[in-house]
Amino acid sequence: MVDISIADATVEQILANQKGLIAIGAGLAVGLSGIASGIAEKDIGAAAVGAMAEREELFGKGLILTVIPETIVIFGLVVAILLLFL
Amino acid sequence: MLKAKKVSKAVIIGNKKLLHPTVDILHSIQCIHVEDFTEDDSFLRIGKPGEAASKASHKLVKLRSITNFLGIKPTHSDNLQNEDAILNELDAKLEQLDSTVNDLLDRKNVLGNELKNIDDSIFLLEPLSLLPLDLEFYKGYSAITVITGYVQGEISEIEQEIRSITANYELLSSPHDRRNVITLFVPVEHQQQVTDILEKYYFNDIHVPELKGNPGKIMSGMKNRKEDIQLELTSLEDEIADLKGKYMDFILASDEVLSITTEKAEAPLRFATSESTFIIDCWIADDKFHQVEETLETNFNGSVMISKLDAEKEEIESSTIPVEYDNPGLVKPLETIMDLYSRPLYKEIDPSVIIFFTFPLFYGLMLGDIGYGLVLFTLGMVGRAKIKTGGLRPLATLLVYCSITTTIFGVLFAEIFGFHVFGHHSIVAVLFGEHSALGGIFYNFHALPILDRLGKDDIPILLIVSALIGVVHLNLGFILGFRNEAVSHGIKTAVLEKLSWIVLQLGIAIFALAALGYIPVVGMTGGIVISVIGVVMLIAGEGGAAILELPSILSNTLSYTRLAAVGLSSVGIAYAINYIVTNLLFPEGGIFIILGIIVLLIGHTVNTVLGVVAPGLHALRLQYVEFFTKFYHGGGRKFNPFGYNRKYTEVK
Repeated sequence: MVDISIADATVEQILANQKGLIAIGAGLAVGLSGIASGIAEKDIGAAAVGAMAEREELFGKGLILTVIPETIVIFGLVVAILLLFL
Repeated sequence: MLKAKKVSKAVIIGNKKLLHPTVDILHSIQCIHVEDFTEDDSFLRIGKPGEAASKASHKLVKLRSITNFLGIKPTHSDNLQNEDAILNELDAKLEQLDSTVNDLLDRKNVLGNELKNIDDSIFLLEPLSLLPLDLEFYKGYSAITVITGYVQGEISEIEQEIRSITANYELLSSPHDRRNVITLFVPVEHQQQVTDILEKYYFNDIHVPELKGNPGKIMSGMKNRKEDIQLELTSLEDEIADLKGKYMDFILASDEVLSITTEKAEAPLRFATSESTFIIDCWIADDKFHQVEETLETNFNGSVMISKLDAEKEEIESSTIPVEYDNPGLVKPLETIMDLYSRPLYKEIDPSVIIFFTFPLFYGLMLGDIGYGLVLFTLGMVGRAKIKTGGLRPLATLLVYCSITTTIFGVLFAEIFGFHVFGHHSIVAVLFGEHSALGGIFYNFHALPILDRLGKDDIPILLIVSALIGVVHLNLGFILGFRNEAVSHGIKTAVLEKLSWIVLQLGIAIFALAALGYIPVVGMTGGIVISVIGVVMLIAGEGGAAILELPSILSNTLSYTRLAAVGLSSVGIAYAINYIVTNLLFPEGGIFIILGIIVLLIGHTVNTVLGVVAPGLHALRLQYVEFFTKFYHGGGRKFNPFGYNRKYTEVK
């Protein structure tokens, strides 16, 4: 690891550092919200498949219920995009 | 459009003697949806099935078991067979087919059983073949016990332990499959002690088959027989395949004819009858009524009559009225999307036409790429050409619609497989050189893209546009909800439950505009007041729990930012593939160029697959979760016309 003390750092180094932190933040936003969606969807998905096995016409409802937590990761993605591009 | 086809309740009454001819006619015109009659205290009873029913269903069972054995699946057939011709030869052919199939089945079972027995015997004989003994020597002693089986551990150790009990023994052994197979001859009186010793070495008994001779020789004989059986089975499979090819058309056609016969013969079970009349309770589309009336009149000369009850005037629960879509042909594929969720109720708006516009719009906005658009168009067209019937055909058509919007947005975004089409980064200019005639045109063209998803400057605009589309779409939902509520629960409920949301949004919008300085500051107070009015209306309409629902207006609107976000993720993948190939692999030259092309092909194929699935699911979700929840109930019954859609036969 490159040891940068803030006092000695050039402006370029500080900017590069900030860019790196932003990228880490964006990555965390997508990654963590993705994990959250996954955890939420796994239970709903399992239950939906179970329900579909009983009554096949529940596919539509099952799909809707399963994708509801998908919004979490979309928000994460939007936050990441805002971080990276604004 | 926007409403289900108008239907009315009707009753068909006639002389009981004419029941079967009436059923024949109604079955062939496929216009009525029959309501099953259930017996009550009145003098009416359900009808008796025709004589043809039991015979036909008997044959049908036979035919279906043959279909199953031959592995025949329903297919699309272009050449329709004459129903009378099928009926004429049905009995004879079915008998013949049945005996052939039974014969084949018997032979198959016999061979299968023999094969299984041989496999079992080989399994038993294999360890014994390693020991130098013929099979008859394992049995038939009175003073000696023979113990045969597997043990784990050193043979010398076992032998030592046995020797400590008796010197009077014979032990044969051979290693087999990481264990040892042994056979041990000891006097009967030592049997228990020896067994105890063997237990320590995980002894596992082998059953010696009731055969004579050398196990190795018997086994090789069995193996030869096994090969013969497998050959016989293969030729049997060929025979079955031949039979399938020869009789497939006949089987499919007669299945259809028999199904129709059974359906017609059993139809009286759904009707009410008295001593000399029958009554059919049914629903009929208003535009078909006169056709049915005339057909009955010309055929029965007044002995069978149909009369109509007005569904609107009769106080009939909306959910019991069967619903038939009433959409132009172009919109039909979207009905699949509707049915996937739930069919609309008779009195509510059928939003098929709206999602005909919004679904491809959302899809195109998300994918937005000329290259992917053309690939999907080809896929959709090939799908339409290959799939003639069934549930997948509407989806192929839908793919074509979506590919068109994808291409249009691809032009607006000026993207092809994640590359720029126009401007200084144009892929055409890169491939042909920016000073070439063709490359120059693309290099110097700057009117497109309207929004550049590959750069970073336009992305905030894209996000805002997505959210605005969301606002429009949601409010369209509220307006439709207003209409549905007004029809089913009156104008007051509609205002309190649906208009309140629009008022609330209006208040928020005025507040935001004032806060941002676009309108005078007094707007902030005005906005708050209007919002509060909206909330009060909502609470009056839906109760205090509605407060919990308030944040949903924000999350629903923000949910539409996926229109930008999902698109950007697919652009991101395409961009990453292109970057790896053009900036990292191609400059290395040689083998890396081939590698680059492989990466390019695999990467874009994967991205196309993701491109079909992800925008499809998200576009669907925006309809189902955000849009439908604002107005849609669903749960309507399907209008199921009495009759049969013939696929393999016709009536001459």
